[in-house]
Amino acid sequence: MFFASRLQNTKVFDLSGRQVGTLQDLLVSLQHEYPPVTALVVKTPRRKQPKKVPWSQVLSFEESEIFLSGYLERIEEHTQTEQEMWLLKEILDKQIVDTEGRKLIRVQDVQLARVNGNIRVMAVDISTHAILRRLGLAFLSERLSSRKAPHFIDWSNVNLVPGKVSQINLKVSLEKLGLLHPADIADIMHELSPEQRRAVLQSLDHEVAADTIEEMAPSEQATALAAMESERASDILEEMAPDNAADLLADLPQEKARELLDLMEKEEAHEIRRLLAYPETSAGGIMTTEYMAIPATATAREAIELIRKEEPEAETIYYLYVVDEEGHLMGVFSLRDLIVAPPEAKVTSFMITNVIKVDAMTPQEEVARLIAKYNLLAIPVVDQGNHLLGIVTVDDAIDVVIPTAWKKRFPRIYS
Amino acid sequence: MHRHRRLTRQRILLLLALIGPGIITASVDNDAGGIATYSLAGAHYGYSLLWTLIPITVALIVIQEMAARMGAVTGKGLADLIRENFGIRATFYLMLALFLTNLANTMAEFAGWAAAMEIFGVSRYLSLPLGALFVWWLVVKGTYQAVEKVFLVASGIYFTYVVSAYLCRPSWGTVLTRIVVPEIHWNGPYIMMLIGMVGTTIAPWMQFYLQSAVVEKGIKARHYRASRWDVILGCFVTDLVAMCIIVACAGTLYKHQIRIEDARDAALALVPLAGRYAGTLFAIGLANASLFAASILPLSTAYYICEGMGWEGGVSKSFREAPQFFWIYTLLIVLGAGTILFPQVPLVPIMYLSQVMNGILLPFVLLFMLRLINNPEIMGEHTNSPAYNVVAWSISLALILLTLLLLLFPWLT
Repeated sequence: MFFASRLQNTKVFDLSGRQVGTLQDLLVSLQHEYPPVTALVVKTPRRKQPKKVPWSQVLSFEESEIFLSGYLERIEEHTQTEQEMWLLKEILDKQIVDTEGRKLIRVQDVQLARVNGNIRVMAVDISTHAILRRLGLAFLSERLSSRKAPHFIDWSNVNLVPGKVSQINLKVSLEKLGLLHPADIADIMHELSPEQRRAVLQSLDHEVAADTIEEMAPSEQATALAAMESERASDILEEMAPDNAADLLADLPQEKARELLDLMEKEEAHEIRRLLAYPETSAGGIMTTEYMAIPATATAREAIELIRKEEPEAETIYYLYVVDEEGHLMGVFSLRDLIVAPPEAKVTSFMITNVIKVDAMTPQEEVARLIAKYNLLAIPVVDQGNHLLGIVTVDDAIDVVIPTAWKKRFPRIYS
Repeated sequence: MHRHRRLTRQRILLLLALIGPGIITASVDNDAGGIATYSLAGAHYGYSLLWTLIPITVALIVIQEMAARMGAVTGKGLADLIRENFGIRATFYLMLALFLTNLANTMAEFAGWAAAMEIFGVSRYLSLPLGALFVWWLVVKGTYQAVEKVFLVASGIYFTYVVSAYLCRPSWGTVLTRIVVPEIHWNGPYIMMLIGMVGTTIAPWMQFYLQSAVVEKGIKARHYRASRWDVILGCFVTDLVAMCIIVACAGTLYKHQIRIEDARDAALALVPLAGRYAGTLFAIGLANASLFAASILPLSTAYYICEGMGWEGGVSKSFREAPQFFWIYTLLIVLGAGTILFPQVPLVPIMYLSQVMNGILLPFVLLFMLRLINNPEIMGEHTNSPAYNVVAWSISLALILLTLLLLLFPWLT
């Protein structure tokens, strides 16, 4: 077992038996779950640039000394691949993602172990003990308390965040991060630099990226999207809920927003354009157009079939809205009403006709108040002619009253 | 009403949205130590130190601009960058020094607060616990939006010094001439005062604070132009306030050859000379400045240290999750306010001590900053230009030289 921080400046001897240099860094390959050391970076007094010695040329590897199996000058230099990273320069002291604890942690030290003749990265030490050890004050922590023992996080539970210099293949290095809940990814991204944010978003697939962006703070959403290629940005917008996509587009410069809308599928773009016409703080501004409308002529059985067909699209199916041929809102019934109704009963026979609804221009606070007052899951939004335009769901209404996650999240300095 | 119309308004609002970090940093800059130093400069040397404000402003702008640029480009705090690029050893000792320095600074702030409240007849046994409680409450119970608003309003209170200066009826013509025409007196106390002014205006913790605040605002490299104006404006405001304090004291106390020990003396001495309002406004300014800085210092210090050392930090965490953060934060407040409670504790030497410690730390912080900002791996195309580097290095070297003088002076004279 080794600590990476202790390996720095280890004496390196070659076949001549003389010390030819000191260890500057280790190259590790991220292709494996526990990355093996693939080369040593040896600092020699003769050369300006350090030499990368392939692992195959290492005879013995100890914390006190390293022996090479050939003459240093004759050893062929190792060529770094894009799967390899410098352990001390690019991993030690940097921040990485603890996918188990779902947060950013600082690498205080890296633990390596000998496995079948290879040296592999096993875990990250994040304890204060590691700091004291590196400062040469380990005795302090032993004296202070025994609880401050090393705190390791297994390498299989960490994910690197790309640095500015690193050349490594992002897709490979970020795959674990993509498995987290989008809200957690957004939380972690909040702590990252703009460059890193861009890289992380780039590595996620469209759907996860869309969900993650929805969880980010509005100001960060716009910047994140603006930094992307327009083609991909429009794909991600299509995956987002239309109301959220509209909010995001409203925060972008007008030209960029127009360009993205043009790149989107006709249907999605049309919905968003309609939503964009309403002020952001009105019912029209926070509503979604993904609701279930049932024709007034339908029976209960037909309604259920319709839901089966449409369900994946709609934001909520607990309320079903009955509309006539011109799209006038006639009534509403719940999923429960529908299920208990006889299959051949007309929906008009069991719907509620005095629907609680709001005009598209109603202030969002009033919408939230109504939803709270009548304990609704969603409220329909109509225009002046009583045409159904969309619905505001309770979760969007709550955002108005209770600050959303990003608002609760204190800025770094106060959080 | 239409969203499209809002878009254009948003562009105008962009500049306003970026305002904040620079102005707040600049205001906290005129803290208890700053006000005391400027008061002394005005009372003992009249207008003869006014000219230093122009070079000080230039230096301040250059240094703060670098901090803000690093924040915008990297999206990381200064402590974070230092840890990632200079390793644990350098970070540890720098953070230890920052802790001690800011402990001294916090003590100075609470000393200023206690002194200001004593002018209004409030005992320090009452004002200190209340002040400490307010600081704690603001952070633990307040939301950031509220906190930022409080701070921005507090920045406005500095205007009291402008009114104070006006009430003292100085001859503005002379003031203007004295600002532009430099004069140097080659005697120990004068040079000492000059160094004190530089030291109190350009403090190490400000660079950490500003950079984090810029990161926090989410200012990106491409919006950076607008943000730069915030920094420059902030620096001008800082030194405008400084000028008003000097003018207020010079036009009255210096004219009547009244010796003062600290800012409290200045406020009291202003009453018979410039009227009750001038003195009261002066005291309000001091109370506000002290409490303002005392709110920001302990918290931000705890934050940078945790950032650099890789400990969990933040008021939204529990004590169990982030013990180091809460210990540092609590220690700073308790020691900072607690020390001042003892009546034997001399306030003037504490102010001086905090300035000396700032002075010792500043060169190191500047050297780290210059190395970071010139590293293309970190800053990309936003490194300093060669010309800018000449200016930045000259300023840094001048500051380091002045600091050495400050430290050596007690032995030289």
